Amino acid sequence: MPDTTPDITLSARNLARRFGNRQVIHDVSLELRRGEVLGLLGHNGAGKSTTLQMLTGCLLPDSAEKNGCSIEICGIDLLRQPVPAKARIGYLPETPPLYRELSVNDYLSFAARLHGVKPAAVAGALAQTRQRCGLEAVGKKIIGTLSKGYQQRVGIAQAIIHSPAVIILDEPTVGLDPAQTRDIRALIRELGNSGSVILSTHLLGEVESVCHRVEIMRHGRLIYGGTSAGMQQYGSVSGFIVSLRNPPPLSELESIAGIGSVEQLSATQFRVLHAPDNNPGDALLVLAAQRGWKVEQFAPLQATLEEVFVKITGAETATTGENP
Amino acid sequence: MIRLLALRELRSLFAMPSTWFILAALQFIFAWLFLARLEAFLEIQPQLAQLANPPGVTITVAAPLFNTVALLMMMLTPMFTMRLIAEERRNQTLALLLSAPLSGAHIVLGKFFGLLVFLAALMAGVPLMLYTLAPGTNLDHGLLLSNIIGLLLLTASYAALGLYISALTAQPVIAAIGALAALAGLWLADIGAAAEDSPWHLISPLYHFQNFNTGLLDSGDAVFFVLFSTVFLLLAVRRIHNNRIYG
Repeated sequence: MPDTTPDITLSARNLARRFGNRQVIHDVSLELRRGEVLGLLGHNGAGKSTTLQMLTGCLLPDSAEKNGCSIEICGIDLLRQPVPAKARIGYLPETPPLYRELSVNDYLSFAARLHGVKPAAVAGALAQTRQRCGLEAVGKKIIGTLSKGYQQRVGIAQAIIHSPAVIILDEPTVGLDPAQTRDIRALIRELGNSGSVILSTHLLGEVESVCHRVEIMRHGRLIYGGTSAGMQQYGSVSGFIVSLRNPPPLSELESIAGIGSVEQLSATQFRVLHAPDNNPGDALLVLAAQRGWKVEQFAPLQATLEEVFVKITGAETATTGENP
Repeated sequence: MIRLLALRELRSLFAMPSTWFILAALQFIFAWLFLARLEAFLEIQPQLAQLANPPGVTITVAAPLFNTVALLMMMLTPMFTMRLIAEERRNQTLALLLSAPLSGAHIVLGKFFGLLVFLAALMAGVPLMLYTLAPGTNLDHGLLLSNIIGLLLLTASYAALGLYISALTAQPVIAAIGALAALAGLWLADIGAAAEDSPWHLISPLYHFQNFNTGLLDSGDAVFFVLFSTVFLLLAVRRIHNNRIYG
């Protein structure tokens, strides 16, 4: 299918959704190109899952005609022609939709047939997907007996077995150990080469490591959209944390040229802030070597999602001159 | 697609040990009922032989047995229908079906026929036991056939009602109790109405089974079962669609 896939694989315009009296999603528009990994970043409850449910047809957007809202998958209208549009989507919900009493092979074959893979092609798709998701060893096991990490992988396998043009993953790395997280991220990057992927997450690091583009969501609105490299400028804070086993007095650190402020976190740990264009890390390390401060650790500061939000909303307020 | 979903339903059912236990226990109960009926028949057989036109073994053993099975199925079907949609909703596997290229009708019909095949297999023991009498006596095949058809139609209408109630909730237990209450209510409306021509009789599936039970193939009764099943299947499709609206 990849040869016939158009360049824009998914385009959603003016999605809105209310549950009862609460407007959960306001006017969300998204576009996804072929070969792209888009990260949907936001806190829990920001509306990420609801947005993804609407993109997969599990949930209908509010009054489609009135708001002029539309969802197109590879140019096919999801709301008017749900069946052909859905055949091009692979979806992993927040909770993997697993039939716990089936074996991995049975379940994946069922998922493949369900998404329109021809019976003759099922065995090939199954073998390829099991290999990609690292499920070779557990094919005959019952899903209910697998560990959480393997269940998550079966969930991802279920979403990609029919080689869909659009793969939608809702928090794919939640609850996995670091090694499994690394494997899954590698897999997502690989999927991004052939198709296009949307993944939702509340982890800043995940977006930086796997996504080409990021949309940040807050209180049901998209507040920032851009490349993930562009977001890192919001994400970086000019500063570092340094641990010295044999620390000098605080004033001595503060007197090094270029250091803005120093905060003592513990007996040996200091948080150093500096101007963005002038990193005094070099000077500090040279001094530390000369005077025997014994540097143990030197780590640049990572911004939290909250800090990124503050910066982005701060920037918006500054440019538009109104409160969000 | 419907076949695929039905097969998945069967595979899940047979993957659970409790299904096999229930199957075994029910075969034991059916056999017990059958043997009790047969014993009663053998006791009164000398007296029946003195009658000019005595009732045969089919009408004295098979018909009451089918009637009892019909009543038992009223209580058993909710136990199997409860899981159909309520459990998918509780385990959040419904998202797989909702995001798959299927219509709501596919989902509902797949589940309905999957369960119907299972229930038919569950009841298959009854006619098989009756046919063990064939080497020793002449069976009334017409009466047996009308009972089998009636029982299948009756079970289908129970399954459709149970499926709809299962689509209303996310708790399988509530679905089971709800379906049992609805079926028992229909039955009580039937037996509670004293007058022979009371309209209350007409809403009860079990009342419409009586003609089949006595070997009378009435197209009106067959139409009732088909309509009853269709209405509840359509309501279930509607409920699945509402799932997309209300979340």
